[in-house]
Amino acid sequence: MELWSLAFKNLLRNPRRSIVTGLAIAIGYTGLNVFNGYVHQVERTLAITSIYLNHAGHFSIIKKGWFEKGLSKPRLFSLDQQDQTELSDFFRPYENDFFLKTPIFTGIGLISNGCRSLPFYIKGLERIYRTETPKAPEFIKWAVLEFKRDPKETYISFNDDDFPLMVTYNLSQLLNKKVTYKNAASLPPSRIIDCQKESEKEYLSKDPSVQLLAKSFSGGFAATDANIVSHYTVGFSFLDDISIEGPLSLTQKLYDTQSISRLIFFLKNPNSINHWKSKILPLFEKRFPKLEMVFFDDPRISPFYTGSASFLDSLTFLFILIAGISITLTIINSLTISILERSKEIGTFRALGFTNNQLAWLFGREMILLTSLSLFFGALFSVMTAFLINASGLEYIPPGASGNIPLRVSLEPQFLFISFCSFALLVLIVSYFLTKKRISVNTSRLLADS
Amino acid sequence: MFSKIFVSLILLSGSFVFASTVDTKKIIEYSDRTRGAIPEGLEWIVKLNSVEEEENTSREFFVKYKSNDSYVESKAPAKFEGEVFLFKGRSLWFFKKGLRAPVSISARQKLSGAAANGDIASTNYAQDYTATFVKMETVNNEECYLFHLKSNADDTTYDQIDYWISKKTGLAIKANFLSLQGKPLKSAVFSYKNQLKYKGKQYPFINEMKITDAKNPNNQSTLNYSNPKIKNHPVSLFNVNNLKR
Repeated sequence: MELWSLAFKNLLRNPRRSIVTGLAIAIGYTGLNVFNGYVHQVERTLAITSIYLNHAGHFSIIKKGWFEKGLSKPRLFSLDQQDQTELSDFFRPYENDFFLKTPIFTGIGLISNGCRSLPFYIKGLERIYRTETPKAPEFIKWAVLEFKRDPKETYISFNDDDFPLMVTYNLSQLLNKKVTYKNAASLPPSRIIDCQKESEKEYLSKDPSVQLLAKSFSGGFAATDANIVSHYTVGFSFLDDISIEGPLSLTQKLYDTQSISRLIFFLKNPNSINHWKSKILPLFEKRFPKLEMVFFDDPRISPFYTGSASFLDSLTFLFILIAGISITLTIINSLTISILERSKEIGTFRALGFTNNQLAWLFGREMILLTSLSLFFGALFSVMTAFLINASGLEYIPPGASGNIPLRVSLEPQFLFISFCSFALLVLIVSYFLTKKRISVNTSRLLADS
Repeated sequence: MFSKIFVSLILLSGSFVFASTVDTKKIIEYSDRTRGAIPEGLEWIVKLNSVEEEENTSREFFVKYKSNDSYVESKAPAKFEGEVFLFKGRSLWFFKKGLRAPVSISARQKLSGAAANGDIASTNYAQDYTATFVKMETVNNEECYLFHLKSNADDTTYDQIDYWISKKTGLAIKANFLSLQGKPLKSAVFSYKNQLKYKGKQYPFINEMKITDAKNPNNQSTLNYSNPKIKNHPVSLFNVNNLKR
């Protein structure tokens, strides 16, 4: 205890140097925590976007080969009714683990405003998907406001007869469809329009109806009228030009099939995903050799999430490396000056019978005290900085995203603790070995040093 | 060395002289006529049988043509009856009863098996493509002109075509449909057992076009043409705005 007290007093002998060194450590630690908090927030938001908005689920079941040929040859790579029944049987014992289990049909085709046709990528979902997913705790916690839409604003409030359709903002603009079905004063009477005339653009913009054309499972073209009931975003700009979403039943009707593309599962406990990977996946693979269980962190189903997450991970690693090197250099610098200044004192300690080891620990204690105090203040600065950033309401557009998202920092207590301990340990090791090396000279030389 | 250059020059000039004597446009216009491009108008029935991934599908269409426009009505199977493909020049519209508006589609889009939408309408290569005579080549013991056709626009059915036309009969024997980069997409062979009376003369008219996918030769489509008749259709039939009426 006496050595700790001595170490603390030694720190106060040159308060300016101690403050400058401590401040450098605290700022580095704050930067690291805030950066990690930002990365954590982005990673969670992207994961939730992938799981809930891009319908990857925590995992989903598909036919093998679906990613390669599922859209070009949907009939061969869809789950037919027999597959669906067998899957229901297999997953029945685990029903309590699921927050939601729902089928999805995806397909491609053309969407037309009567003058112009553009390619679409449709997702057909059961209405329960839209009512239940906003209640998922992790969705509530992490999804950005733009995605938290009132289910009543989606197709669930409309009858199948209306063929209600959600169309992305970008695609609506490309089709010049500004009005939604609910907001249209009344559906403009169906009439012949001259697409070449500029004046017809207004008529088009007031008409929420569109035509969908797709290659049906039975071989020919299938076409139907549909009504835009709301505009939405899928979060990624490259998908926002083509995405539409509608009720599963109608989508299946358009493609003339009862098959589905995937069966999506949302877990009640998202942390149990590793259990599913290690325990249930092998059973599933044995039972269904032609099917595949795809988890949300698979780059084939969440390419944007996995790509961004690995990029952010490498950035975080780089940042930790820089922070670690900076703190080490700061400590080396401060300690070297301190040892040089205190050569005579070290010599005196040695003359009094202190061993090199004990002296190294004394300097180690000084640095540990300084670092711990700095990291403590660094943690406080981190909380304050995170609060200020979150309260500022700043927004930015991440690369590939389809709109502004709020700049938020979500500090991870676990990371704060681990990095605190890691830096304290690093400082202890560096200061111990550096001191030991520096003071390993003859006592008389230390005492004679001016 | 000099003799080689001399021989090469002789051959080159010879082929140049021959190429300049081949009336490319006239030959292709004639072959187009035997595949439906008669400006005054005509009609025929085309049955499309496709094999894809070992599965057979069958469709039947009634085609009406006039001045580079085609009105193609689906006749069979019953569930596709009433569907209309309207080729207005190179623009293509799809319509079926109950739709509020027709849908603009692409002639390149796959219709069935190896056949694209554009394959069911008449052929007007002379207008849609720029042809270059390549060489003479023998196909099925028949001496043929080989033309390389390059699309004049983005919305034609194919970007490039290698087209073999019989020197003796003026009928297209074979075609290789190529991508923009010149990679083979499909090939087709034609036969002409139908007869058509036009301006007092009997002309052969296409009765079969067999299309084979280049990547998967098991994927094939056969178009069988029957009942070709010269008929002057009203221009209004080909007006997209009239589809809903």
